Amino acid sequence: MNKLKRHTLVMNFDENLISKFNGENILITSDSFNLLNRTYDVVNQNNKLVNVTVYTQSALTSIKFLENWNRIPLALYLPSMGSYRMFFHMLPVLRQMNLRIYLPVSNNQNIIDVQMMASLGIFAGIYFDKKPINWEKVKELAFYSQYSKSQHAPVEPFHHISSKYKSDETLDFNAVYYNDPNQFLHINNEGKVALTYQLLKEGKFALESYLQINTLKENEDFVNYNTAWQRHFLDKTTCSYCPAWRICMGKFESSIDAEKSCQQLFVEVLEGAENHQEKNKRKPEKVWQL
Amino acid sequence: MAVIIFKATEKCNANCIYCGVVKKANQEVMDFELLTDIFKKINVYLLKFPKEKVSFTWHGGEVAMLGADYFVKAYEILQAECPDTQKRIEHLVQSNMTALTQELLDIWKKLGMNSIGTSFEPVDGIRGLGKNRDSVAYNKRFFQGVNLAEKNGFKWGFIYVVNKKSLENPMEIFHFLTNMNLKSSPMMNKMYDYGDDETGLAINQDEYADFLGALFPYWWKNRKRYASVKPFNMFYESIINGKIQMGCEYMGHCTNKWIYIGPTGDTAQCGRAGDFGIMKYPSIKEHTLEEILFHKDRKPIDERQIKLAETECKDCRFWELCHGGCVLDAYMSSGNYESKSPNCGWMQKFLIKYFEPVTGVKINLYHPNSKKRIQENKNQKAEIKK
Repeated sequence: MNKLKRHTLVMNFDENLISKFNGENILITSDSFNLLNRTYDVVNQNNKLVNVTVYTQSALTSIKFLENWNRIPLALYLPSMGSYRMFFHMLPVLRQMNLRIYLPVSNNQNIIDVQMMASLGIFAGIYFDKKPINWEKVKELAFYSQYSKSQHAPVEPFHHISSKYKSDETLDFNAVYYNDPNQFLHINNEGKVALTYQLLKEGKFALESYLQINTLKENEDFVNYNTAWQRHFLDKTTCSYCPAWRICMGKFESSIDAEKSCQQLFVEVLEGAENHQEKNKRKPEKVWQL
Repeated sequence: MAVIIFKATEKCNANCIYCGVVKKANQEVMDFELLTDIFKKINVYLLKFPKEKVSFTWHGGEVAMLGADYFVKAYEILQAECPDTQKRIEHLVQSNMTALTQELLDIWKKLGMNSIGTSFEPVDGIRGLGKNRDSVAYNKRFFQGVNLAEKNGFKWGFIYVVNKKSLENPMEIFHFLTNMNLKSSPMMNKMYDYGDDETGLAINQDEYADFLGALFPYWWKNRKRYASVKPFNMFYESIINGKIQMGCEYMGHCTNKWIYIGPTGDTAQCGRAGDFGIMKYPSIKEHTLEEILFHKDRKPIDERQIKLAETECKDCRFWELCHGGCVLDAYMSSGNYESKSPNCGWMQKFLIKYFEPVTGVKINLYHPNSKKRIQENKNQKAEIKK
């Protein structure tokens, strides 16, 4: 099989499947914590483990973190953080982990908790769960992520947008959630390839086998995915006129309200990203007293 | 550099409402005998002036209507007739993107092209295919063309023609256009009205200035994001950075540089002159390229510069940004070469009412003696002839 230079392969933990790859970046998804150490050892034998992502219905504070997980890059998709009391009790352990925590944005408390975790050094983020969104709250979180002068861990997806933004390219922040087939491909246990996690769940595969990945550039589904944005300009959707198109690309088309709240948020985020890039270009200020 | 606007065909699959070429309904296609003769004459010109280059823009109509075979043959003729000079011929192309094929892109690449100039219009019914001006089909095929071009490594940039409908919501138009292609921002040109506007879409000088003025504060605030949007970046480069980078209409040095060559070998001052059938020069069939580029009928264009600087444009502090504007526009509006272009209207209004207050910059680009520029042009010509 040709070496895949760009893609991270996303799959469940299946030793037989993993044994077929060599030298690849592999991301394992799971709904339990049972085989974390085994996963780490097996994947890293001949490949590189990007992370293990666990999708679970447990709150963060109800998970029992084992000390030997600290070597494993771990991403958790959870419904909530849990109680503050428990969280602060767990904090020393959490800080030793190589951990990213994602909570659904539809719960206002989650937005507060993501900010709180980030302020305590835990890499955290929100994910969009297709339920009504309190855009003002999200805006506060974005502002914190992009402008707060106090030290804090990255907050996704705003960190991704700030660090990857280029003024002459569109930016798909779905990559944060592994849903960008230009970076991530989802492989089922039979070795079939889907372009996104959702398509994998729906059983819609672009390639019948991972052995065909080197033909992806010519693949119709892949080409269609990458040109799907053009529909907005053909249909002249509200998103095609949005100043923040370049960092959102119509992700909230179906939930645009009268105030265009999503636009208001992403315009702020775009300015934050530009501000971040401008700041990084500047030479560090010299303190003359030293 | 000599700029050849080359129209081997003026046929077009589209029927854009503001297009002067469509109105001509010229169905001619240049034959290969004439094409051979033209490349021979370019070769003679370049051999005589070893430091000179030629910019050769394949224009139309729609060039894709020529088909890939035409370009393959043109490439063969080029190889045969310009063996030692073809490296000094830069091929460019203007296309509406709706009829691109893999074969066309292959041969364009062979000719050294890597980008396509095009146009787009978000409002339906202005650009479109066929008699009914089908915008939906046009736009669909436009994006198919974009995808094919990008797959082949071509970049594309586009012109937007500001018309009456654009005035309804300038910011929406601006965002739509700047979102479409982040690699290349639009050039927003004024739709022209020479007194025969049957469409009701042409805009006047004030309307164009106000359209730009509605966008400019936003552009200025976000100029890093939208750096290459024209005409704003032309003013920015010229006024703020001091590098005069205006379009050909405003540089005052097109006299002996530009030539239009049409399907039957007819020539004119530039592409638009050819479209409107004015400022014509003799056919390339009977004359050399040098004879046409330095034809005596071009002399009034140079003289116009001196006269304007001493009369209408005397003391104008925007002189270096405009040089009296395009001679073609002046001729179309007043019937003579000696007056300034009516575009003075929008430019002055935009600069005074919008650019200066927003930027806080007081413009003073008065050229005390335009004879200096004429002398520079003469020196340039002498240099070419060396």
